[in-house]
Parts: sequence; structure tokens; C-alpha cells
Amino acid sequence: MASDHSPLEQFAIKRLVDLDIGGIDVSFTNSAAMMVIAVICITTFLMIGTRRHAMVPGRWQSVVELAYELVAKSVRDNIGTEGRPYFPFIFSLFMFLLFCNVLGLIPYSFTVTSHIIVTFVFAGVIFVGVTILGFVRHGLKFFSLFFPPGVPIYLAPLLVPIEFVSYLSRPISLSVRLAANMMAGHTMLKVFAGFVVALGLVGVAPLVFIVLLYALETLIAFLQAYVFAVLTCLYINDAIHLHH
Amino acid sequence: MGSLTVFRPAPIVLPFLCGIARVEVLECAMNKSELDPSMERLDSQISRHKRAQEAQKKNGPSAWGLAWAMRLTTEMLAAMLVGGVLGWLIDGWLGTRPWLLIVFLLIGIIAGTLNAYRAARRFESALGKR
Repeated sequence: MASDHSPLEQFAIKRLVDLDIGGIDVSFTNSAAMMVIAVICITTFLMIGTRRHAMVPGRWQSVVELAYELVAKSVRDNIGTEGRPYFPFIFSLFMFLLFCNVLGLIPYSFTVTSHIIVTFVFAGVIFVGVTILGFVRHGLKFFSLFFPPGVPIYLAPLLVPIEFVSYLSRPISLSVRLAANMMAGHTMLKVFAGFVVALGLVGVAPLVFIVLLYALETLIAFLQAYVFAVLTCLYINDAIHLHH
Repeated sequence: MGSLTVFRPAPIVLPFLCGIARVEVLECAMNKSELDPSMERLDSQISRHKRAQEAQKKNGPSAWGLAWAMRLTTEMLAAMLVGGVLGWLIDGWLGTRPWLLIVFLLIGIIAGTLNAYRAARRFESALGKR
């Protein structure tokens, strides 16, 4: 079958366990399995790293501390001291996306974050949460995000729609960026892997390219998880401090 | 030559003459240049590594640039998309197709440019902080 060799074959959702609750399809798929594996990996990673609290950290502990400090620093830099309550959320978000991205790079595994519905749910939850947070903290003054004080009133018909569309575009850009990065990278890897087989002996050239591409993809997996976390920080910051 | 033989028991005599710190510096210099050639090699390696690290800090890794370019693009496209879809939906609701689509698409383009501009400004300030 031709579809067996399609570079998009890797994104197919397969049902592992068929489940049906009240007419709603809640089957356990390969996507769900990878999410469970990611959560298990994160839990083991953090538990091994924090098993012994040594003054001079060992290998595992220093890696865990590295992850902690990376997120803590971006929370501190982007939100300030008021951002501390949101640290657990952003840390969990970062670790989950990071592990999903990196685990997806293992051959024959599945990249959860390459599906836009997964990243869109994350972005949508963040968007709704940040909006609620803004209204809780500032009440109706939250609307000044769309119309900053000090701007002449006759600019309102122009400025308010622009700011509104800009605000609505946040979850779209957040989710599309992560999913598009993952999908493009993995498709490219598959396409060039196909060249290796098709070209025979000359296939060494695309093979070398794949190795280099893999290094780049690993970097992108880290960076996109980090960018997602940093942008979440920025959105929370906007909701707390009400300025750009 | 004669003076050298006189100063042979230097480690014991010198502390009383010049103070302890001075001797340590002397011994350190001796260690590096005469006693252990591998130390010198290590020293030059460390300084070379430090210089390379500083150079990278100044330029920033290229993958960061890639991530930022990606960010600006999606920021712009997402606003255009949202503007277009919003216009199309309101058009269908009010029955004024295609006028609001055009208006909201224009608004989306402006919002996208604004988003990209804000992101770029933040990028510049982040570069300045480093």
C-alpha cells in the first residue's frame, strides 16, 4: 500500500483499547499512551533527582535543579515576585511539553504535540485562565488592556478591534507554533529517511543530513517547550500588571 | 649562582621576610611554568574556552534566532487568521458578506503587525539585558 510509505503516516492516531462511555468515544489511543509515558518519565526523573538533598548535587539532582532554575528564572524575569503562585503550573506545563517533544524524537514513538488539537487545548486553557485571572484581579478595569488610558477617545473604534483581534490571536499563535514546528520537523525527517532507502549507496548523503537534522530537532524540542512556557508567563504578566 | 645556593631553604626563610601571601604567589608561578607543563596547557585551554563562551554569549546561538523568527511569523499569521474568520462569521450572522470580512481582515493584518512589532521590541530588550 502506498500509504504505508507516506511521511504523514507517523501522525496517525491508533486505538489501543476501545472504550465507549455513554456514547462518547474515549478510546485509549497511542497519543494517550505517549502522554501517560511522558508523565511517568517526568515523575521518575523528578523523584530520582530529589531523592537525596545533597549540598553538592549529583548528576540527576543537578539536572533537576537546572530545569527548576530555568523555569524559576523565566517566571521571575517575566512576571516578577507576584508570579510565584503560578510557578507550579508553568513548571508542569514546561516539563510535560518538553518530555512529549523529546520522547517523540525516539524512533517508532508518537509525537503528541504534533497534533494541533493537543496544543490548542493547552493554549485554550491558558487563554481562558488568563482572562479569568485578569477579571478577578482587576474587574472591569481589565478592559483597559484593549484601550489603554491616555489615548484620545476618537481612536477607540480603530484601536479596540485591533487590540481585541490581537488578544484573540494569542491561543492560535501559541498552539500553531508548537504543533507546526513538531509536525514540520518530523515530516522532514521521514521524507529524508525515505531518500536514504530509495537512493541505495548514495543514500549516505541524506543519512548524514538526517543526523544533523536530528540535532536541530532536539534543540527545537527544547526551545519550543521553553517558548511556550515563557509566553504563558508573559500572558499571565499582562493579566496581572495590565500593560504591554 | 652563589646567591641561589644561599636561598635554597627559601620556603622556610621567606615567610618571615616577605609574608605568606607573596610566597604562595611565587610557588604558584613556579608550579605553572616549571614544575608541571600540563598545567600550562590546561590554563590555555580554559582561557580559550572562556573566550569562545563569551563570543557565543555576545552573538547568541543561531537556534534562538530561528525560534524568534518562527515566533514573529506565527504571531502575524494568527492575527490575520483570527481577523478573517471573525469577519466571515459576523458577516454570515448579519448577512453583509463580504464587507465585514474585508474590514476585519485589514484589522487582523494591523493587529498581526502590532503583535510582531511588540515581540520584536521584547526581543531587542532581551538581547540588551544579556
